[in-house]
Amino acid sequence: MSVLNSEYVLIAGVLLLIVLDIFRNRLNSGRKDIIQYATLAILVLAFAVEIMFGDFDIPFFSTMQYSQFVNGFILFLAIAIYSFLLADSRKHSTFIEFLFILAVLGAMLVVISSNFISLLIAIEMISLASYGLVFFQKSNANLEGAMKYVSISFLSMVILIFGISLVYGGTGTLSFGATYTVNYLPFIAGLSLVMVGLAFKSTIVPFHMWAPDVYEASNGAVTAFLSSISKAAGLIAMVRVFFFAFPASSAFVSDMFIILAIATIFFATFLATVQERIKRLLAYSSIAQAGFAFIGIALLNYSGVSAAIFYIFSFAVADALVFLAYKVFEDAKIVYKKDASKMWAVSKVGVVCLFIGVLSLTGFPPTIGFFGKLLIFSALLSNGYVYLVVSLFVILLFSTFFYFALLRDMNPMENYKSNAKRTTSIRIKEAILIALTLALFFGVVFVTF
Amino acid sequence: MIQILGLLVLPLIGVVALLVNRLMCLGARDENIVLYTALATTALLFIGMFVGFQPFSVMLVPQVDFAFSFQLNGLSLPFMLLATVLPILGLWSAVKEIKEKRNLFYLLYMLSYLSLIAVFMSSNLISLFVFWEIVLVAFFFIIAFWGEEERRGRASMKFLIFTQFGSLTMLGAFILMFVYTGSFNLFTIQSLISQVPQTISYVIFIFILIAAIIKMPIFPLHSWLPDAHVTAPTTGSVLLAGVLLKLGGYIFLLFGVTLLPNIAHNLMVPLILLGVFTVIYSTLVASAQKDLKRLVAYSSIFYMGLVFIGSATVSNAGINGAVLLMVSHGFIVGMLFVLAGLLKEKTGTRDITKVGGLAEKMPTYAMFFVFAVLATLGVPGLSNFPGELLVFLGAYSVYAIALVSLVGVLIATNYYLYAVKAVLFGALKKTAQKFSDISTMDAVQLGAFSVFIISIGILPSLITNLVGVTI
Amino acid sequence: MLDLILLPMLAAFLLIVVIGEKLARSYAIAIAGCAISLGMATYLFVANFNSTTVDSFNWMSISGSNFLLSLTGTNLSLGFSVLVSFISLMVLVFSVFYMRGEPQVRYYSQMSIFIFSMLGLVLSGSTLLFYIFWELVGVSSYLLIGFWYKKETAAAAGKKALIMTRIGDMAFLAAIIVLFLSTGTFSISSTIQAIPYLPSSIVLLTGALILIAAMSKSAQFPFYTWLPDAMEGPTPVSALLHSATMVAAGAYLLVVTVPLMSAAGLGPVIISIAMITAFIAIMLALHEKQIKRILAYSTIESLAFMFIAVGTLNAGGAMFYLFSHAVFKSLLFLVSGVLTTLFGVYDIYLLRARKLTGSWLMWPAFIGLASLAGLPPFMSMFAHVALAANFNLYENLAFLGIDFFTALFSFRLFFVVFNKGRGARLESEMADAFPIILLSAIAVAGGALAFYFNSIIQTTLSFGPFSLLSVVASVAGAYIAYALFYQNRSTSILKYFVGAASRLAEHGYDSIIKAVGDAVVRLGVMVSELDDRLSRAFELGADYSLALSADSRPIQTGSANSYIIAIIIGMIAVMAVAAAFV
Repeated sequence: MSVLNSEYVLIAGVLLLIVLDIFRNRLNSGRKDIIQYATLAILVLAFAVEIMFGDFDIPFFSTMQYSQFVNGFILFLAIAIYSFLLADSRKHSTFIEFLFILAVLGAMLVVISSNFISLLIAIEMISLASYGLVFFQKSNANLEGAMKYVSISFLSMVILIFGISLVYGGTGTLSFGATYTVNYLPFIAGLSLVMVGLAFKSTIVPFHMWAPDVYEASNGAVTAFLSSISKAAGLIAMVRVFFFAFPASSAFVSDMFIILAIATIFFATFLATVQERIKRLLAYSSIAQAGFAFIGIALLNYSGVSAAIFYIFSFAVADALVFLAYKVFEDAKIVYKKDASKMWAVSKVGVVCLFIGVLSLTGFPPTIGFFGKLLIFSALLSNGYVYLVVSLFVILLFSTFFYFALLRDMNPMENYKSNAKRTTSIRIKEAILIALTLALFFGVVFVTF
Repeated sequence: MIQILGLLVLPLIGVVALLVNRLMCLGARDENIVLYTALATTALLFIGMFVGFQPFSVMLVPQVDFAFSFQLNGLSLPFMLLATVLPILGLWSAVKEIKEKRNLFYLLYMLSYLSLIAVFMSSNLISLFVFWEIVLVAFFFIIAFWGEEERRGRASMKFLIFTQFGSLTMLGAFILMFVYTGSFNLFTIQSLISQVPQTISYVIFIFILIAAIIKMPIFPLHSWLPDAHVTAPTTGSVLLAGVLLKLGGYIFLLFGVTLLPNIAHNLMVPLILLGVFTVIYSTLVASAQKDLKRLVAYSSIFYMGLVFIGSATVSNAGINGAVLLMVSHGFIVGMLFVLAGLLKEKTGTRDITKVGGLAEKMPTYAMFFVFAVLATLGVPGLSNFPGELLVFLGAYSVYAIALVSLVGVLIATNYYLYAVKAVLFGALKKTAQKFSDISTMDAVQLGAFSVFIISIGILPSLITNLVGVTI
Repeated sequence: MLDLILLPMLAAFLLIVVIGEKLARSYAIAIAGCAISLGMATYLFVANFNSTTVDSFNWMSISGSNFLLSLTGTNLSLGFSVLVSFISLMVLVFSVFYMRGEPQVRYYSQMSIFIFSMLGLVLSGSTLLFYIFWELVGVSSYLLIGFWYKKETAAAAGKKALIMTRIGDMAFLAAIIVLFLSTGTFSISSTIQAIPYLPSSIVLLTGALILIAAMSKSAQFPFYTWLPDAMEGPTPVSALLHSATMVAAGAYLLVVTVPLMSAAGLGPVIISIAMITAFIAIMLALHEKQIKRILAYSTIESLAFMFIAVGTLNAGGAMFYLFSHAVFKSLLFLVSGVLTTLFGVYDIYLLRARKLTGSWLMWPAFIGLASLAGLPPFMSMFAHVALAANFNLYENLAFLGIDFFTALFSFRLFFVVFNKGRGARLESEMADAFPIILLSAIAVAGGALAFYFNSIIQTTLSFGPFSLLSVVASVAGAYIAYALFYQNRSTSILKYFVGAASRLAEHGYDSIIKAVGDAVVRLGVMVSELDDRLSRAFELGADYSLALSADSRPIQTGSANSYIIAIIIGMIAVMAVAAAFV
């Protein structure tokens, strides 16, 4: 383990921010700029450090360390989301900056945790920070979302802890790494409770129900965070527990996962087809994406998990992109699908980015969404799940249906007048969206079997 | 030798020029950009047919063997001819018909032009799939944005959902090939296909078959086609029937029949019977149609049924016939759709029972109409005949019952002649008093179609010499 | 080299199409082309007499098998092409008179393409090329029948003709395919040579298919109804296509494939079909009042004669009859063309009122109708003799009856039109008089050809007792016609007999054909409804699943309580499954 680790950078960064904030309060300066820029700088620094020195954990991909890749894209998304947040509004309390960094830190710790306790702490770090982030604008809607999130999250945390304790009872240790094959009822029960607890975070049906409401209630940037980084962390936690810690722990895990994944995909896709509000539609689509990643994890073998990790990357980037892009239009009061053609008047670049993001979510080439699905299908087919693949084809038609219905509603009007002022803020946002869009194309270099 | 990439670079220049034209507000006419780049591409294709093409390959993602590699296979050239020429012939209809969002339309048009050519020359399956899907998306929007107002929502979605299912099963087949041969390269797969276990080969074949049945289309998965055709603008219909349907035939020939001939051979009888059924079924349905475009749409199912029979025979004559018929049908059905579009433009309706006696007011139109109908009925000397002959030859040589599909030709004769009689002959309906004949440009457009139809009809070896596959 | 015969007509077609309306006298191009063709055909016929020339062209090669298109010049084919180009020339010259004031370009270009196809058909040496021209002939016939497209009946007649003949075309195509795959060649002569080595089922199948093709083209029994309707076209078209050449192509096809027919043992079938056809045609001709339709029925009957000859394996007789028929039938049509142009009526009883007896047209009409009845000394009498060369007793006896009735209906036509009233003077000009006089002359004196015809194709002229008897029968028929229609004796028995038969044959049968056509369309409507259902089923499936999705929306109530309940239920389910696995 290198001394110069991106997690340390973030921890140091949080401390630095606290110090800076104290100084700022002392000076009675109303300026938050310094805190905000410092946050951005910390994230960028962490990203740089991760790319250069992040070599913790076993080599997972042929060319790159697993945790380096995952932490790298988490930080990349964090930078994009945070800059978007800044471009959007700078009036928020500096508390948000701490929370954001802590949440990112939590997600990164999930990736490298090798012990149930550290995993639990990391997950709770994300959760606690997320409550605050959801309550970002302090509006009533924010409050409702945050409260729902908190109440349900507590329940799932309790379940997770209970599950972990039962697992401990079965194995006698909390650290990952040893191979356990325990056919002992409390252990199995614990494992399934851990599954439930983690499924909450990764929005697996039927533990997903908080997600559409909370996504809709939050600020767009926060939604982007929840649906990309936070959800990715949840899924990675699944990988940590069920692939690294308990490989082939019990035959039921794989089947259970497939059932849950299929349920997730079907349920979320069906509900997405009938949504009128764009954000809710995207929320359900994001749940369905999690299902797809989950089906890769369900295989619990090398090809499945690596496909799942790439898939997580692909949908995290695309989800961050569409929620951020939608934020631009949400501000212009475009809420319903039928108003989607007004988007062109707000930001052409935003529309094109949203378009490409949705294409990636649908799985159209040459975006990474396509390669993600390619890997998932490939993993399934090479393991002989032909029928499963055919049923996924069918459900993909439904998702194609609602995604393209949205895209079609974005029909450009002929002589629209752009009445939105081209402020610097929107230019920066567009730049961020373009960066994420490019990632959708160039992310393909991380594809691996 | 010509670098094959040139065939993509020229349309790409067109795409970029269209974008630049829009963003910089240069004010150049979009259709001219399309026309010139497409003409240049065609010229390059013709030169290349004589001097040969140099393959091109660049590996993009080695982990999944995703490369942009373009190399001709034995089936590419006839289809590339179709894909390069037909959009030029259909362009004039677009110039007349597309009034709004012209830049976007031509952008999609050019993009699908590029992608169609690329599909036919891709030798990497992922790159093939990439371009295949771009075509699909482009056509979804062409139907959804420029189709007929009242139906376009449903029709475009139906088109997308059906064909996307086909794309997915095709992708499934590609992945299976990759899993068992370790490559997405067509030629590698061809050499290693024997490694694939028998059951998996069946799965691959069935997947490809589903894709082909949807795309061609063949009963029972054809119902997207009439809706899409009726709704799409004329140019869209021309390309849809002229080139897009041929994608189905192309992949069926490439991955079904020539790659897995043994399985195709085992399934020959049911497939031929399916084709025969489609032929009879579609001609019967077409007999009841009153909308000219719908009639032409069903009759193109009929011809694709013949193509399907020809392909399913797994015989040289059948395959050559299928290719020839597809190329010929591309031109003929394109011409018929242009004629249907002109009918709508001149009379305001496509219902053949509501017009009549147009030959008097529109003699040039009538001449081309009769010509196109005769061509589609397989009159010798015009392009459908040699293809039909070869298909029937192939079909009889392996499964004599297939000649039953000749009955389909008879029914087709009946409804097409009925359409001719209803539209052109008889007394001029009163409402039709002030119709004018088609313009010179329309005549040039139709004449261009006719030139191809006649030349292929008289010298079918022009096309059959381009086919380089043997069973 | 043989294409030299075809090319002028193709060139004429192209020239007329290209020059278009700018040239008022497009007939000049057509006539010049036809004259050159005639000259070339005559030259080649004379120069290559008794030798066979072959021009072939490889149309395409599919994996080793070549699709050869070849033209063969034999005495028969070249002789036939002389006939075709000659009759065409006559008709084209006549058209200058008849088609005045009609759209010239369309007419002459379509006629050129027809003559081109007909010459090509005659000269074809490969089944494939034969088929190609066979179809082209049918298509140009479709276009020419529907020449006056504004008339609903003409348009319908063209459609009917093409569909009826296309049934035969498809049969022909199937036969060609079967023969090609069995013999590996398209060449007619090689195919004929290979017949003894083919399995009998193939021989029977292809023989039957080719017979169907010939029957539909030559308007024989189940298919005959298109030919009378085809009279909606301009009269020169009827003269050329629907009497002299195109319809005779069916008989020519049988002549060419006589060895196949004999190997398949289809002779009796052909004879019986042709006899039925002849009977029906006689009945209908006796009943009919329209002059052109009478001639059409007589054509059907004459074609049946040729079929009977082929059925008795007498190809030479059929061919000679074909030649003779071409001459007198086109003559008759041209005469009727003059009459109908001058008076604008087709009904023979209306023509009677014009008091035509004594006009110059009476003589050509008499020559033509006497030829039709087979009276000596006209060319047609020799043709009748040649026709009967292979007849057995029963056929001879049946033919006596046919002869009698043929004479009856042909002289009915003559005596009704050229009745007691006389005095009309008819104008004539070069363009109509020249072809009529020339054709009349040949019809009168052409009998002499009978003795040379043997060198074109094996023909036997055997004058026997039945030759005499048939002349007697014809004379009797002519006399009865004179008595009934000139002297106006009672015709009620005849009317009763003929009326019943023809109602059955025409209206009864036509309605069956109509019913078949309607049934196809009705089936089409039904299948199309089915297809709509299928299409809607897919949409319904989509709609239902959307509705289902919409129904499942209430699960997402928005209240945190229900979410917690869902989690607990999910948790219990997961644990239950887990427990079940343990």
